[in-house]
Order: sequence, then C-alpha cells, then structure tokens
Amino acid sequence: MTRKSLILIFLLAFLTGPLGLRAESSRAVDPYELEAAYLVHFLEFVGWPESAFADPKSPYVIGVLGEDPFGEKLSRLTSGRLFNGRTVIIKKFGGYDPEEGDDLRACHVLFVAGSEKDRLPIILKILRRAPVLTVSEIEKFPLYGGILAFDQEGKKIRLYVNPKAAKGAQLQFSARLLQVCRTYGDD
Amino acid sequence: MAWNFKDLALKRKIFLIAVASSTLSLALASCLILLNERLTFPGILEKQLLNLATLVGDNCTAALTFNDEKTAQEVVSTLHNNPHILEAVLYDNRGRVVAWFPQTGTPPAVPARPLREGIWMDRDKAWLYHYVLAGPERLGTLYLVSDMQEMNSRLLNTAMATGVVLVVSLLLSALVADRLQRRVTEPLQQVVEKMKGIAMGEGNLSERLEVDGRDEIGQVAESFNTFVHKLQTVDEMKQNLISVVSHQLKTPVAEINGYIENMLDGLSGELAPRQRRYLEEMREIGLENYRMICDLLSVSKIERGVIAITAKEVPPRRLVELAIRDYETSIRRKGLKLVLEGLDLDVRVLADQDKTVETLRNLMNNSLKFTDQGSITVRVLDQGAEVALEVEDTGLGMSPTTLESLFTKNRVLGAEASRAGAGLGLFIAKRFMKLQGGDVTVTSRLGKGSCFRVTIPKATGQEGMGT
Repeated sequence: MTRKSLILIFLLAFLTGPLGLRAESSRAVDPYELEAAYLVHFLEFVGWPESAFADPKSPYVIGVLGEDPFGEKLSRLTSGRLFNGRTVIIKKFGGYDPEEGDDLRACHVLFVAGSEKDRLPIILKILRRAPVLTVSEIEKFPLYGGILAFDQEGKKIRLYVNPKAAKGAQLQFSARLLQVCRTYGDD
Repeated sequence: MAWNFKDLALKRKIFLIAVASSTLSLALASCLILLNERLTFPGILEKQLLNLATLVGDNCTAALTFNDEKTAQEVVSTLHNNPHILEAVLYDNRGRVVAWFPQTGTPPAVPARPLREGIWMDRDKAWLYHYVLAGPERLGTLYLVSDMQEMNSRLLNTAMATGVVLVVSLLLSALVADRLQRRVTEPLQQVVEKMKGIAMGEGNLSERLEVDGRDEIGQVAESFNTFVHKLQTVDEMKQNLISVVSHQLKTPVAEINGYIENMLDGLSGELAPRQRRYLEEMREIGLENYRMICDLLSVSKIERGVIAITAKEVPPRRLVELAIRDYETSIRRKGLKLVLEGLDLDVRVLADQDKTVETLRNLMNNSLKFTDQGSITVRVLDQGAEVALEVEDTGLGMSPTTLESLFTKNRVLGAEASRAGAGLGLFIAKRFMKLQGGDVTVTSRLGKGSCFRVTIPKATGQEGMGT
C-alpha cells in the first residue's frame, strides 16, 4: 500500500512537475493569457437574461473593443467548446464607432481595451441597461460605470466589480464569483 | 460458589433458563447491531466526506478559476466547523497548494502533490482526494483528513443504548420468569409437600391433589392421586384386619388370663413352688399380650375415627389416684420413691376419665420401666385455662432423635419395639388427650430422666361450682 502510493507520488511528480513549471513561466511572461481565460470563465459564473439570446442555442458573443491584446488566445480557448450548451463567437471591433452601437449591445462580454480610455463615457452610455458584461483593464473602470475590471497587482490579477452596474445590466453574478471580486471602497 | 445446575431448585432452573436465553439472544442482537454499525460506518463516512468535499470544492470553483487564494483559504477555513476534519488542503489544477486547514501559517505536512481521486482509511483516520470540477474541466483537488471519532462515539452510543436495553430487558425477563416459574413450580411444590407428608406418615390418605391441566405436573398429580387411593385401600384393609384379629384374640387371651389368675388363687388346688413360678411368668406375658391387643384395638379405632369421648368434670386428684393405684407396690418393690405434688389443688377438669387415667397409667408404666433408681414424681399444676399433670422420672431419658418420633405409631417398627412392648402407648395417649382438647408433651435429657406432661382443659361451666 505505502509502496504503491510512493510510486504513485513519484509518477505524478514526474508527470505534473514539468507541466507546472511551464505553466508558471508562461504566466509570468504573458498576463493576457490569464485575462483571456478569465473572460471565457465569466461565461460560467454570470447569468444573462433570456432576452440576451435569440434562442436557447444561439452562441455567446465575446467582443473586444479597441486594440486587441489577446491575438488568437480567445479563439484558441473557445473553439470547439460548449459553454452551458452554447458555442462562443469572438467579435473584434476596431476603435469605437457609433455606427456599430447595436453590435456592441449584442455582445454578452465586451472587453474594452486601454486604447478606448478617452471614449469610455460615451461607450458606457451606449451600453447603458444592455445585458453586456463590460470588462476592462482601464484603471477604476467600475467607477465610470463599467462592470468588471482587471487590476494587475504584481504577479496576480485582481477582479473589481461594480454590483450596481451589473444589476442595471440585468446580469446575475454567481455568489462564488462575487466572493473573489472586490469593490472599490472595500480596501 | 461451586454450585451444580443439577442441584438447583426447579424454580431457579426455570428462572435461569428464561433469563439466560433472553440475555443470550439480546447479547447476540447487540453484537450484530454493533458489528453492523462497525461495518456500515466506512460507507457512511465515505459518503459524508464526499459530500463535504463536493460542497467545499464547489465553493472553491471561482476561487480556483480566478486564482484567488484568499477566497480559497476562506472557503477551506470553513471546515473548522466540522470537528472531525483534521486537515484539508486545496490544490489547483497544476498540483500547487492553494489553501489549507488548519491555518498555522505553513501548509501541514501533506503530500506536496495530490494523489488520484479516492478514499483510504485506517483505524484512526480517513483520507480523501476529491477533484474539484467545473463541468468537465478539473480545477483542482481537495484533500481531506478526517478522524474516526465519529465511529467511536457512534459505537459507544450504540453500545450504551444496547447496554441499557440489555439491563432493562434482563430485569423484565427476570420478572416474567419469576411469574412463569411459579405457575410451574407451585403445583409441583404441592405434590412434593403431599408426598413428603405421606412418606413421613403424617399425611391424611383421604386427601387428594387438585389436578389442574394436562401437562406433566397434572399427570404426576393424577398418578399420585391414584397411588394414594391404592395406599388408602391397603391401609383400610390393614385396619380391618387388625380390628378383626384383635377382637378374635381379645376374648381368648382374657380367658386364659382368668384361668391363670384362678390357678394362682388356688382354685385348682395347692401349687408346687415351680408351678407357681411358671404361672406367674405366664400371667406377666398374658397381661402384656392383653394390653397389646387393647392398644391395637385403640389404634384401629383412632384410625377409623370411631373413638367416643365422654367428658365429665373431675378433680385432677381423682385421676392421679386412679392412675397410681396399680403402680404403688411395683414402684416400691423396685426401690424407687413415689412423690406426689399439688394433689390438693382445688380445680376441676373436663375429661374423659377412663382415657385420661389410661394415658397416665401408660406414662407411669413407661417411667417404671425405664427408671432403675431415684424417684417418680406425679405433679398437678394449675396453668390458667388448663391443668397440667406431670410424670417425671430420674430414669434413662431419651435422645433428641428418639424424641422426634416418640408419639408416632411408626416406632412400632423400630428396633426398640421389643423392649417397649408394642410401643403404641404414647401414640394412643397423645390421640386420646388431643380428642379431649388436651395434649401430651415431653422434655427429656439422656441419662437424666424424662418429664411427660399431660394437659387437660379446666371445667369452665357453672355446673362445676357446686359439686
């Protein structure tokens, strides 16, 4: 029994050791890998109103507004996978264009890149009351009326949330997600 | 405490059997319950641990997904609410330790990396590895260590509960067994008592046992009744035989005695000294025989219940005088002293004169026979409601064993019968006095002498006052 478990431990250490190392180093190199993963995971922890979908099979839409920092990362994470029975479409918008307002409102998750910092009030105004989870790494994004913000703190990425904005967008945050998010004024 | 089951009374046996069997079955049941508890516990514990791990794991999914170690730690720390969880470690999907419990600053000494999913147990602890899943994706592994206190306390509780049940049911079964054994042993006890009575010669052969039920005891009682009935028949035949034979013998013996008396009185002419001596011997033997026949007739009458008592008021003095008349010369001839006490007591007793005098004579006869030196005292004592007539001697006395069977007719069959004549005298004396409402008792010391006491009720009526 003990011998068996020892062998197992060694075996696991061998198998997982190199993987763990690689994961550690890659994360240190590229925080956007993690942020992309987070964007995808939000689909699991947030509930959208039925009105946000045309039908039960229609896909999630993750939009990226402004200069895209993710490259192919998002499509790599989502292609061929189902989330709550839905596929995921990645939509890339260039800079903000008022013509595309309806398309922005049709996204489920919208990442607002740092390049859009100056146009933030107008973007958020367009998205007002639309069931869109707005996410950004722009500093104090929730204070402007955005819903979620990535805040890089050393090696870690912290999540900040604006619960009022989330409620206004009719989004249901799971308690578990709220547990890992902070709000401004918390700390 | 070396007792043998064989020698225990039946009621104890029944009691023991009932209590032992119920105790045995309960003990067996208790053992099975405990065994079942012991055997099913691992399954229960596994389920509990798995539920706990699933719950905690689900609460950690967001924390693991978004690499929030603080939240993970908070969730894992909630395990302190469960007193049986000794250690817990949460690994992420790369096998890195994210959170742990108990929180002592450093992770506890646990495997640095998670093992495959599963549960292991030994006597004191259980270990569980549980994958934290989000859909098909494995977010990490939760490792739990639980103590086995719960099992021990459950076993203890069960043991205590069954112990209490055991004691209570032991008491109950003892109570029930006690009640039940009575229904079996009491009729049996009755049979045994009756048998003992008859075996000792004190039982009444006309009595029958009540037969209750057709069980073994009922059959014993019935057989016993049949047996007693046969015994009674035989006894009656014996009485009739004695009665008839005695009657047939009484007259010829009396006649022979009369002729001997006549010859000794010289009615058949002068006797040679040797003839006289032989005739005197014959007279002795004849009288002895006659008395024995009379005794047998008396016994026969007593047993058939045909004795007639004719009680009259008599002064005790008269009874004593009548009793000692025939013995005064014999006593003097043997060199003994006759002492009379309390003869002037002024009371009257209600007695059958003949039978009371017969009784006293009987006692005098005995005293004379067994006393070789000293004195014989006849004493009248006032004892309130009754009068006691004592015949005390300084003779051989009797041993306690002799005293025990002194007033029974069984003594006739004993070894001393030859010396004491038929030995029926005391049996008859006692019956005679009992029939008159009196009694005959005795105190005696071996080598010192005996004291027989005849009690007679006093005459109470007005009729005794004047005469």
